[in-house]
Amino acid sequence: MATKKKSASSAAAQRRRQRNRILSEKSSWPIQEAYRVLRTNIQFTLPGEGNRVIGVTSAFQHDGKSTNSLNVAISFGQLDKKVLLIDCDLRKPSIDGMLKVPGKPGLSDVLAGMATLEESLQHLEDRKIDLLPGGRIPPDATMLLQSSAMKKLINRLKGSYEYIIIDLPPVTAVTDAVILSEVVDGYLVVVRHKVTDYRAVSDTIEQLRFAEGNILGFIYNDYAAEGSKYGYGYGGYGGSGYGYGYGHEAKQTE
Amino acid sequence: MVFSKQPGGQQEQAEAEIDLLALLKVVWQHKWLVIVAAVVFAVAGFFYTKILIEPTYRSSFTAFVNNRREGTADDVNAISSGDTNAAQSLTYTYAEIIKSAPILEEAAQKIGLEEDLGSLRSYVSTSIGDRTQLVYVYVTMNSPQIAQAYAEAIASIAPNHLEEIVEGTSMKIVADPKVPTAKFSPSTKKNVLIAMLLGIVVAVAFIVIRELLDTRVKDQKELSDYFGVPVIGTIPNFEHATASSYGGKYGYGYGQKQKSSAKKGEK
Repeated sequence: MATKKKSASSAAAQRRRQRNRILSEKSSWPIQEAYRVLRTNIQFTLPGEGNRVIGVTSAFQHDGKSTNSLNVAISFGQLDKKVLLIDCDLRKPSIDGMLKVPGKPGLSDVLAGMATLEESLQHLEDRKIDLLPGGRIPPDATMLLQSSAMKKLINRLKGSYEYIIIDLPPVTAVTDAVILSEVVDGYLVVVRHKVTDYRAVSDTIEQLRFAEGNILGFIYNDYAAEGSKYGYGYGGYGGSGYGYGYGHEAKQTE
Repeated sequence: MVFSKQPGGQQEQAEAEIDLLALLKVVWQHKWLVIVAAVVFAVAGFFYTKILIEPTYRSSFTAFVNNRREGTADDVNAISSGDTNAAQSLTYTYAEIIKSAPILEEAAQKIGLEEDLGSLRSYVSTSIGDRTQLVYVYVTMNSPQIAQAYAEAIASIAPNHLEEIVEGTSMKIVADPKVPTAKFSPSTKKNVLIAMLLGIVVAVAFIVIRELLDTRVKDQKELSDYFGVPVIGTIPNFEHATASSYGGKYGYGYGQKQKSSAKKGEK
């Protein structure tokens, strides 16, 4: 991947790098395996039965939240489940950019009554997921998300999908993530190795707990073992805080 | 951050325990910084010593103190312990008198050394042989020749002065002052060593402080222990992971098997 020197192209290069991080069958094996394990763990920790609304948030911007929301959705899609990914980061929707699909109409338009759900939902055949992008950037995202329209929308969508992944804004940035705690069945908190600060994570967890959100666990993003260029430390961790070993989980996914 | 906390931890902003072993490990990881600092400081110390510090030379003589004048009649053949004790306290007195203005100035005049009393005083120091009647006189100056000359001058006039001041005593020079061949100070080796140690201390302190102030998340177990929330997914750094895709290093050979069966499972 040649890197051009012009600054305009470095933004393009960054977008390209972002797109390369999208999970697919062409992804490297460690990446695929990481998401398989994550997916399995999510399945095991979600409470109860029924439809599943999973909120993905993080402490700060650039922790890898949106990428991971997308990849988790794709991972569930690989199981041939009906999956919907909602870009709820209304102030900074990024998933449409990563996938190079239209960003509007989207969630904000639907909530504002300016577009219908049918118009806004996109079916991504190659990724095997449905996407509801953020939509036009609204003047007051919090109000929209707090509205009863949002709750009604989620409940309606729960009828059609087995898994709904919601890409939330960072908790320390705005309270949007916490507002939705009523409809979210479980939160995933993305933390970035050697980037995220403990204090930010602390604030995040505190807010989620205060809102009585159910925290499923951390996604430890961007891990690289010390002094190892090829990240073989990943193998040692098994990518799983639960100790679902490779052998065990392999049986589950096959 | 070298935090550690009890599992299932609550949200207090509790004091973190400082894990000494983890700190040592971090210092070891940055050992190159420590080595570089040691070398840099050592070199700086070397040049500082060689260039900025003027060497000094020391010439010294030893004097024996007796509390009996040479050749007096009384009790010539018997030395009692009382005599010895008296002589030893006398030794301390002599040491002070040698450093007094009249002697220093007269000796300086004798060799044509024109310096003020303060400087003269700074050149001369004494020490007493433990439980002996010996006074060691040290003259430390920038020039070896002058140091010797001055020491010799003091040695030549001191006994007379002392015998006049304290009656019934005598002082004899045991060892004459010589021209020093090697410099007395500074010791380059010592300074370089000290500088090197200082460099090490500074580097280690810097590393430790930086590590203690670093509150980023760096370890999964630490993270999950601290909050009581499990890490349910670890996503490796994409660049690192793709560098060795399908790497045999992963999964203990599991990788190959899994790859083919995964392809089958996923359409």
